[in-house]
Parts: sequence; C-alpha cells; structure tokens
Amino acid sequence: MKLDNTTKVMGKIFLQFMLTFLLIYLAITFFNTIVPLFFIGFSEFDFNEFKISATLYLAVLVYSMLVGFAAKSTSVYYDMFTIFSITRKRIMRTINITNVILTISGSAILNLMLLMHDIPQRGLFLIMITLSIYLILNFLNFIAFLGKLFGWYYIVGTFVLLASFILLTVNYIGGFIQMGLYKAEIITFFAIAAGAFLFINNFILSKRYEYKH
Amino acid sequence: MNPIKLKLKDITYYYDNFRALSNMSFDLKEHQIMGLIGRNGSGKTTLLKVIAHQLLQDKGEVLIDNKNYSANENNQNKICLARETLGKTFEQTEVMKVKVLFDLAASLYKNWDKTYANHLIKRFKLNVNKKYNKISKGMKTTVGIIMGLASRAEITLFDEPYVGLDPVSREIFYAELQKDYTENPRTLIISSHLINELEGMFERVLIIDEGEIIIDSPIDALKDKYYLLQGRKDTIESYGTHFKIMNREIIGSLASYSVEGSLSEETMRRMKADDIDISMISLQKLLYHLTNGGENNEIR
Repeated sequence: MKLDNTTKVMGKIFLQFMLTFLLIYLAITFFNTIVPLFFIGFSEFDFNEFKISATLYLAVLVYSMLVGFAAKSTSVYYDMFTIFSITRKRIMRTINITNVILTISGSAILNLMLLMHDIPQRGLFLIMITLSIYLILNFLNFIAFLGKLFGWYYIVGTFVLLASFILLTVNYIGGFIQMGLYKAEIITFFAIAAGAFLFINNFILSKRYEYKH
Repeated sequence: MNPIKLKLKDITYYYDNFRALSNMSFDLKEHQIMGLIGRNGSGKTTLLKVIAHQLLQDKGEVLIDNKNYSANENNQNKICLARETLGKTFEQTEVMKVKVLFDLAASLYKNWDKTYANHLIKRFKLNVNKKYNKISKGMKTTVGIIMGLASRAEITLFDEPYVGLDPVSREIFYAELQKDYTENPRTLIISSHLINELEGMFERVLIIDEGEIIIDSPIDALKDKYYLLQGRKDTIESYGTHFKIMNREIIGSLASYSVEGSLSEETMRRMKADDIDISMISLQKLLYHLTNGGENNEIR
C-alpha cells in the first residue's frame, strides 16, 4: 500500500511518541525490578517475578500510549493537519489507518508478552484484546472530538458516565470473560460499539469540526 | 487564456447567528494575483479560511480545478494559508521549534522548496531554533510568509502578510513575492489593509464589505470606471449626467469628486479643456468611498 504524505507524517509522529513511552517503560521496569537488587543482592533475582512485572508494566504502558495517542490524534494532530489545509476526509483516513495499525501492533505486543504466561483460551484473549484496543481508540477519538466541538466539560461528563457503566458492569463482564460465558455477545458488543464510534467520528463529528483559531 | 483555478459558488458562512459571508461567488484564473480588500470585520479572514478548508461553509462550494476540494480525499494539499499565527495548536505547544514546523510543512507540501526556505530564513534573519510560541509577532508573520512562499502550493493565500513586520522585512517580502511569482507562477490571494504598498501587484481585486462582494474586477477595468475629478465645483457639476457621484470634498469654490461611470474620450477631452483634472482613484480611496456609507466632506 502506497502511503500518502499525511499518513507518513502521522507515522513519524507516532514513532516519536512510542519512543518516549518506551524510555518511560524501560526506566520504570529498571527502577522497580533491577534497582532493588542492588540493595538485596543479585542472587535474589527471580526471573518469574521479573517476567510478571515486565509484562504488567508493558501492558499498562501500551494501553497508556494508545490512549494518549488516540486522544491526541483527533485533537492536536487533527488541528495540525487542518492548518495545512488537508481535507477532512484525508485526515480521517489517516487516523483510521493509524488506529488499525495501533490496534494490531498493540494487540500483538500484549499477546506476545502473554505467551510467557500460562493462560487458558488464548484465542479468546487475542480477539478480546484486539477488539478492546480498537474500541478504546475509536472511543477516545470520539471523546476528543466531543470536547473540541462542545467544550471540555463534555469529556468529563462522558467519562463520569463511562466510569459509572464500568463500575456497574465490570464484575459481571469480568466474571463472564473469566468463566468464558457470553463470549459471542461480548465480542459482538465490542465490535458493534467500535463500529458505531467509527461511524460517528467519520460521518458526523469530523464533518462539523472547524479550526476557528 | 489561463483556465479557472479556484471557483467559489454561493458561499455563506455563519458564526453562530452572525452571517460573516453572504452568497459569495467569484472565480480566479490560474497564475493570477488577487487582492482581497475590506475593512476590519468585513469577512476577509473568514473567506480565506473557508477557501483553505479550515472553516466549513454553511452553504455553497469551493471548487479547485472544477472539482469539489473537500469531497476528494485523494487531493494532495494544494492550498497554503499564510497567516500571522498558526493558531492555538502551535501557540500552546511548548516543544515545537520553528525548524520542526518547517520540517512538518516540508513533509506535507509536495512542492516544498527546502533551498528556497533556507534562503528566506537567512533573508528574514529568522532563528529557527527558537520555539514557535516564544518568537515575536513579527517573526510569526515571517514564519507564515516563508511557509507561503516555500510551499509553492498551487493556491497560496496570504492573510495580511505584514502584521508586526518592520518596513525592511515588508520590502523583502514584496521583493521575494514578485521574484518568486515570476519564476514560479501560481494562484495567489493577498488580503491587505496596506493597499498602497501592494496595489501594484494585483491583477484582480475583490473588495468586500459586511460579508458581501462590492467589487470583483480586473484592476485595469477599475481605471475605466472610477475617476477622481478635481476642479471648480460648478464646472464638475455641469457634467453630472455622465457619472454617479460617490463622494465630494469641497473647499470654497474648488472641489474634488470621486465618481463612478464610463467617461468617453470626447467627454474627458472637454473636461480637460474646462480645467478639470482627471485621475484614477486609488484602491484605498475607493474602499473608503464604497464602505463609508456615502458620507461627504464639505468644508465651506
């Protein structure tokens, strides 16, 4: 696939963004797993413990990185491209391509790290993680658009609603996933929700947003 | 004859309930320089931002090469809007150095001329290692000018490209603009208040007021339509059937009339014989008369 200039620029920005997060990840992992060994002795090094910590930090960092980038892509980067008179269709195409690449790479990193652990139903995890990342990215694009269009208090309001929803349902959904129940329904929900946000972002919000500054 | 590069059809734009642009239609040929003239709040910046696709019109369409610009996602960015600021996004970014900004522009504009950009940076003595939000207002205008010139975008829009600039930098800009336009012709729109400084560059002029077009005409055609007549009041008034008076300034028995109308060779010859001095009205005066509500200045 031949990438246009806008997608190439977006790719370059993401690489810089990722590099920053990678450095943070390495620093956190080093300080939390290696530095204590200087005090308690290197003989105490437990590879399994290191593996768990490194995987956990990576998972948190990958999600944070994706969250940060998705929020910035429809706020800061969208404005930046608009200033250079790039059409909204092209900007949205770039953001959509980036979201797909981020989803695949984010999911690949997390699932590869999970290979170090003994997890039942890997296939299910792979699909769930992939869809959840894609949903999160599109949801954050949506949130950033909302904030830009109507004011940042809409972001707070939406997050409060989301937090309430998660608090109400996390035990059930988490339990269902653990027990392997309602797999098809949960996957369908993730897919439909991601599709809905994708549609709203591309065909409603991006067509209303202007750069008035 | 050059083909039409940019066409605006019935563009209307609202800021909430305020109508900033009202059914604006005009077209601009390829490789033409248009002067966009109007008073503060007349809609110049809004119009340029609509053309640059930063604002979305409520009605009408912007056609480039006879195609709807926004509908085609494969459009490479053919437009560059050079302003005195790049807006909040860059003003608030603490980390964006000017050279990073130029690198970004170089990646996004396919015709970006890096050598020429470096030449302009040296001519304007711009420190590209400074952060964009820390440079002066004049320097921000310079950044816009360099982007506009070096982008070599097919349609380049300059919105008051002198804000905060010292006279030397202004002269550098005019000289570079003329030189670059001669070597790399393209379609240019320059919005300006400093009409006298730029008047000589315009091939076409668009005068707008309160979001509406008052005049859309080649600059040569204006010379044959608007005149400044100076002489004795009674003598000028005796030719009143040949023109429409836009403005009159009377000092005693002497008068200066700004008029609209097509004067024939014969009429002009007779007027000159009657000691009436005929000259062209400057664009600045024309703007003043057309947007001043027809007020006359009479000192008796």
